[in-house]
This record gives sequence, C-alpha cells and structure tokens, in this order.
Amino acid sequence: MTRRDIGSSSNPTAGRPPRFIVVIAAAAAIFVVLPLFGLLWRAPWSDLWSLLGRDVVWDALRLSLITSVSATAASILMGVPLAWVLARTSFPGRSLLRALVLLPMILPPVVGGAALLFALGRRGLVGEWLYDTFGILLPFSTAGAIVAATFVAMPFLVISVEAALRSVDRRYEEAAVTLGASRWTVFRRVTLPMIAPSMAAGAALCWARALGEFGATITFAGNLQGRTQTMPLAVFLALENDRGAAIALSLVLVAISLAVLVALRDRWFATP
Amino acid sequence: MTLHADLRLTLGQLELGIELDLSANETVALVGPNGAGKTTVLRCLAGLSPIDAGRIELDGVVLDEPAVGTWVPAERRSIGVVFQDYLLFPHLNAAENVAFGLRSRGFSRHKALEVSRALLDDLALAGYERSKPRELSGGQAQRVALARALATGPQLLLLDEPFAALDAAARHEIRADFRRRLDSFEGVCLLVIHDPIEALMLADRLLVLEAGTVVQSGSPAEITEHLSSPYVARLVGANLYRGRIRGGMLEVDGGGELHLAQPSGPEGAEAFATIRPQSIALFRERPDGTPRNVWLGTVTKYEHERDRVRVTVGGTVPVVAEITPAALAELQLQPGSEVWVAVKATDVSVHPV
Repeated sequence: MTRRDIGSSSNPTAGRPPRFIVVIAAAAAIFVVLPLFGLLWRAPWSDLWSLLGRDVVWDALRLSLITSVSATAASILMGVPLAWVLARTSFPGRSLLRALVLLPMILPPVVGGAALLFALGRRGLVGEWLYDTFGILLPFSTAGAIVAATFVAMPFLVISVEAALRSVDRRYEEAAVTLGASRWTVFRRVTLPMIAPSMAAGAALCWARALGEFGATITFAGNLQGRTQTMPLAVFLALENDRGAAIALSLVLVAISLAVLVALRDRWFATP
Repeated sequence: MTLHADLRLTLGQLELGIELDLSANETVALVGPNGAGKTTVLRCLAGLSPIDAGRIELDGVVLDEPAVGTWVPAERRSIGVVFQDYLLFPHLNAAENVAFGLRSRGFSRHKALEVSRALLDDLALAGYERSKPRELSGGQAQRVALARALATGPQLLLLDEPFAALDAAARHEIRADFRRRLDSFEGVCLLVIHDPIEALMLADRLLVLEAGTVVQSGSPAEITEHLSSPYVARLVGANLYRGRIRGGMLEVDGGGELHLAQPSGPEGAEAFATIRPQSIALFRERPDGTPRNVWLGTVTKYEHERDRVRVTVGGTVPVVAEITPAALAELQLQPGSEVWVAVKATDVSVHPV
C-alpha cells in the first residue's frame, strides 16, 4: 500500500503549473510550517529533560493519556452501535439524528462545554438528578474531563465507522447467514473484521481529537492539576508563567501528532 | 429427500411464479437470460428473500408459507449456498472459511477446523488451509466455496453461477471435476447457470426460466429437441454430442463420427462436441466443397422459428439445422426427404468432459 514510486506519476508536460500558483503554494506551505519552527526555535533544548520531569508536566501527561484513551474506548463502545443504527436502519428523523450526532465536530468546543454544564452540571438537566441520586458530580472531576473529550471526539469515530458500514459488501453477511450464523455472530465474525481498518483509523482520529481537547474540558471540567488539567490546558496555563514547560509540553504533543500521522499515512495520504 | 417449492413473488419489474419439484440424486439447472429471476429463486429458497405467496417445503419441513405465517430464517435452514464470486470471507483463511458454518452451529473451534481440514484435503486443497482467499486461484476459491457450503451437511445445495468467475481455460477441467462432486452429493442440488451449454453438460434436468416463469423443462436431450422459446432456441439450441476422441475425430456415442479441426484432448478421452444449428448447411446433392463432415440423413420435421426454419435431420448423427425459409423452399424439403448434411470441422466445438 505504500506509494513511494514518485517517478511513475511524473508526466513531463503535466507537472508544470503557472508561476504565480507555485509562489502562492510556497507561501501557504511556509505559513503552515513556520509556527512549528517557531516552537523548535524557542525550545529550551538543554533543559528539556528537567522540564519534562516536573510534576505539573507529568500530571498533565498522565491525565491526558487517561482521558484520551478512556474517551476513545467510550467512543468505540457507544459510537459503533450508533454508527450501525445510522447506517443500517431507517426511521423517521434519522437524518436529523445524524446531524445532531456530528454537530460536536463543528460546534465551538467552548459551547459544547457550556452545553455539557447545563446538562450534566450540578444544577444541570440530568446532572442534578445524578448528584441527588448517586452523588455523582462530573464537573471538576477526571470523569468530567473524559465526558468532555468523548463529547467532542466521538463524532470522528461515528462518521468513519458509518461510512465503512455503508460500503461493506452485504452479500458477505448473507453468506454468513446461510452458514447458520446468528445476527450477533454475523456482526462479530464478519461485519466487525471487515470494517476493522476503518474503525482503527476512526479510533486514531478520535484519540487525537480527544488528546487535543481544550475548550469543552476547561469549560466543563475546569483546570485542576492532577484531576482535569490535561496537556493542552497545562500548555495554556504555562504560557503565562513558565514558557519553558509550555514549549516542552507542546513538543510532546507535536511528537505524538506526528506519530499518528506517520501511523496512518497509508490511509490518508494514499494519493493516486 | 425432496424439495417442493411454489414460489410467487413480485420484485420490481419481475413477476416470479414457478413450481419446483426436485429430488435427491439429480442435478437440476435453472437456465435463462439475465433478469429472468434465477438468482431470486435461489434467494427465496435460501431464506434471504421471503416469498409473497406459495410454499417451500424441504424434506417434509415447511420453510416458508406466508398464508399460514410459517417462516424459517436462513440461519436455521439446512441449505448450503455457493455464491457467485464465492464470497469467501476475506479476513479468514481457507480452513476458517470452511469451518465457519460449523462454528456458527456450535462446534468447538478445534472440532470445526478438524472437519474443515478433512474436507479441504478431500477437495485436493491440502496445503492451502492457511491461505487467504486472495491468494487462491479461481478454481481453488471455487472448491473452498463448495467445501464451505457442504461442511454443514446441507439437505439442499444451491449454486449460483459457479463458473462465472473462472476464465475459459480453467473451466473445462474444473467443470468435469465439479460434475463428479455434484454426483456424489446426496441431497437435492439446484444450479443456476447463464451459459446453457454448460447447463447441458452439468445437469440431469434443465428448467428454462424466462421473465419469472418456467417456459420449458426436461433432460438436455429433450430441451435441445423441442425448443419452445427464442432464448432456448438461440442459446440452448446447439447440437450436443458426447463421445471419445480418436484420430482427430469424435466417435459419437450411439454411432457416427465428427471430424475435428483440432484433437482438443488426448486420444481416447471423453468429450462433448457442440455444433450451432446456424453453421450446418443442407444440400439436395452431395456437396463437393471443403466441409469435412458430410453425411446423408432424413428430414424428420421442420419448425418455423421467427425468420428462420429449424430442420431436424435424423441419421447416424442426428442434427438440428437452422436455415432460411427461402432455402427451405429451394431445397423442397418435406418430412421424409433425403438431405446431405455438411459441417466444417472448425464449426465443431469440443469440450473435454
């Protein structure tokens, strides 16, 4: 699947665009890459290890890992059945449901966080009942940070899995049925393995989104070190008083993002 | 073991209404043009599509009868299906594909794989147990699909275009092998085949389906003799002979011989030969041209078929020829007339058995 044979697509006449397009394209590329160089340029390379060893950094790193992995797991558990219903069933209002499910992808995260507060906060629609009945208080807790991350990240998984479910050749499922497989067996042993690559890509995207989550988390879960202060929050806070730590944390995030890109390069960059 | 089915179904443009009475130890082929409803019949029997009215009864058990609300879902029917393109699960290897049905029916993984390996071994696929479907040749994939369908010991075996995905070169060899396998299957077997010549070679009985109804049924010989529809006439209406290859000729079972352009098989091998009725020429006098096959026969009957006339000529090698009405008039043919039959060796197609 890797495409490294650059030479095969080079047609001598096709690859010669007008000069002004080249100039603008170069400017755009510089615009995208420049901030990254800014970060690298200001990085306190000599102090990097000691900076990364600080409590605030470690807490943020650990918490980010916990929230993003938990959010991804929750998204898979809830998102796959949701995607299945959206792809395979037909009921009135299905289009509306899909639009609402995908809304957090484009909704400003701060608005999402506020909405979560009104729904699950201590005085929220469901939150009040949760607190009165079970004593569960989501805001300002790690669970709240996970809820916020799941809210914004799940649509990425749903959209990917739903598309995969729609493109699966359903005749394979019929073949499984004629072999005596129950509906659950068909799903588990035929459908799921066939959508596994798309699901993995969706989960990676979902995880990356959860890792970078800032707005909804700070609005809904607050900014408490060790409980809700994930890496993006820590970076934001550190920029005020501890530039070195902010840059160190940023570099970690950049490295993780690059790793995800490299891992999924075949899937996203398989250009003809 | 028997299958009785009375299928009534409306599906878009198609109005399906056919009755099937099949018994074990016979291979029946459903032939017909695209869109005639062949695959729909298989889907109804397999339980992938419900019928609107009628009844499906396999070995005394009613599987589908809308009038009384009886419906046995596909996963509980004792039916094996070989799908067009085979539909082997791409993420499972050959042995796991074959074991799938047994696993679904509650066999342990170990036991299912054991049965699967034995079946693959039996189908000359030993050594391919761990191969993924994409690593198998067309013929191998077809045998894995057959093994998968047979693994659960079905009472009814349905095969949808089992040769469509194979290239022409592979077909000959595979078809013969396939015929032997079907003959040893003990349940009821129904084939859907688009290519009528293939159906004639594989099936004991043919059902010709057109626009949702059976327009003709019978043994291959009966079908080729009495052509009741344009589709049958055009496609099934080839003359079919079985015999042995000897010295560049086919010794036809029942007498006579046909010169072949190429031996197309080892000396003494069994083979089928087909001759299209359009490529047979009839003469009142013995022709002295190049045709290698020339013999004298007697007209037994002729039938008008649209703008053509189909003339049946009896003799050592009986043939059906298709000529124009003008030619019929010119030759002044009547039942009982003697006529010279001429066929070029290149017009005799040979298919190894």
